[in-house]
Amino acid sequence: MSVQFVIRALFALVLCQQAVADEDLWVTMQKTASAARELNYQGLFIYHNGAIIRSVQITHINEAGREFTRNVVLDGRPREVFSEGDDIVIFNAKNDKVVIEKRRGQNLFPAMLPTQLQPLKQNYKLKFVGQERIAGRLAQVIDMIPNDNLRYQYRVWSDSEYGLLLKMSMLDVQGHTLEQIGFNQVSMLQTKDLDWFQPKIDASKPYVMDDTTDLTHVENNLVIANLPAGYKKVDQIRLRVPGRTVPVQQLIFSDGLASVSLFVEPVIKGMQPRIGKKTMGSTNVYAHVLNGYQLVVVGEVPAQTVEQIAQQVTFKK
Amino acid sequence: MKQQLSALIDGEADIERCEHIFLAAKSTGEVAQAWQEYHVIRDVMREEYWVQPDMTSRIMAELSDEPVVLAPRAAAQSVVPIKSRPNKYVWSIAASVAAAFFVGMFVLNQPSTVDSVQIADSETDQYVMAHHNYSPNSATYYIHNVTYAGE
Repeated sequence: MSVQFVIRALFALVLCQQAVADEDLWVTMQKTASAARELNYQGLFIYHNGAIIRSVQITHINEAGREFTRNVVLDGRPREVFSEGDDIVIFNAKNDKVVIEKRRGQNLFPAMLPTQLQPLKQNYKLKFVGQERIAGRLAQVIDMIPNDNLRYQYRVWSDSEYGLLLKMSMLDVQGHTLEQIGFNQVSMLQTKDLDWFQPKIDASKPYVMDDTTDLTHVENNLVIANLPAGYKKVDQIRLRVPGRTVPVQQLIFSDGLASVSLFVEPVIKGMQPRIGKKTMGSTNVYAHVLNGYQLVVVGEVPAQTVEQIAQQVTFKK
Repeated sequence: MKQQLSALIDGEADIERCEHIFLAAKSTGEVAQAWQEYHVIRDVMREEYWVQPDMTSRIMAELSDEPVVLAPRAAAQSVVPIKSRPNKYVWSIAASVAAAFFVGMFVLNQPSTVDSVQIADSETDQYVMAHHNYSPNSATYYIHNVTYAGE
């Protein structure tokens, strides 16, 4: 390979980058958000976060607008996650029983980008990085660069042909990868057969429901004067935590991609209030006590974002 | 409604036509209750349950919990030829109805008092897990295992 060839190739790459205008990149992102929900595919993906690595087998089918997904966690304890539209049911094999958890809609890999990109456009800028091969597929690599330091940077690998999200990573300000999730192997499915949409049932075990969460949507007298820029409250639920006599309120905030939870519970007799901060991989935790309430803020966001939310909480009289 | 549910669990009904049952199960506790009862009946009807000695006590325990419903059904069973009908949809239905049943339970059972247990020192883990479980964007749902009360 001659030096001249390399220079030409680099020049071509620069031209190519300029050609891909900002708006085109958002079109690619929109395609990426939709493809994960509309296509029929199966594959194997790996999730990395700090020392944690998990392999997951996924099958996804969109049958006349209805989405069916099965995720089988292959490492650690057996776990199967089924979703049909927004309903998610998780089967956890335990020693002598199977615990069934019910969840609400979440943007799970590869459907991690929200279909509504408008909030993201306000908080992130896109930058075309180049092309890379992931899981045997050619991918467009796009960086989502935050407008401020209240959120992390993301890198997205989108299948050049189908638009399917092949890989996604989260990076801190220094450019260190905090969290990464991506296909090792993926293929498109031609069939619309749903015979795979069933858990591996062990008839000898009792099936029990996990009932720690009461998904009542509640309102209270909590006020957060200044949420970090770009974050909005998306939900408020009540949790029954084992060992607690009083339900814990959970408020959820999101900038469209990153999410933060604020937990509020009264400090009752015998309870040790907690104050301080903690970082675990991409997750930051900030604990604070206010007016006899324990506040805990948790999120895959920089430390200052969780701290800012905790500091802004007040209670209406 | 109960007959439809019974047919569904026995694999006689077409899953495509049963959406209303799932919807009904979500909105009323009656269907959820019926599902549980029929589930027990179906379990009993499956011959393999009887060849597992340890299962017998569990089923008998469940039978004793459901005396009113099971007694008349038991008579009906004697005229029905017992043969297994393998159906690939059965367990996905069970999963769906189980989910619906769960929703129903929340409607029926308002939270009662929870047993007081000493809070462990690793309690921030519970917050982190709850965050991952209920936040709209989470890549981490499969790294956690539910900490289940009494485990």
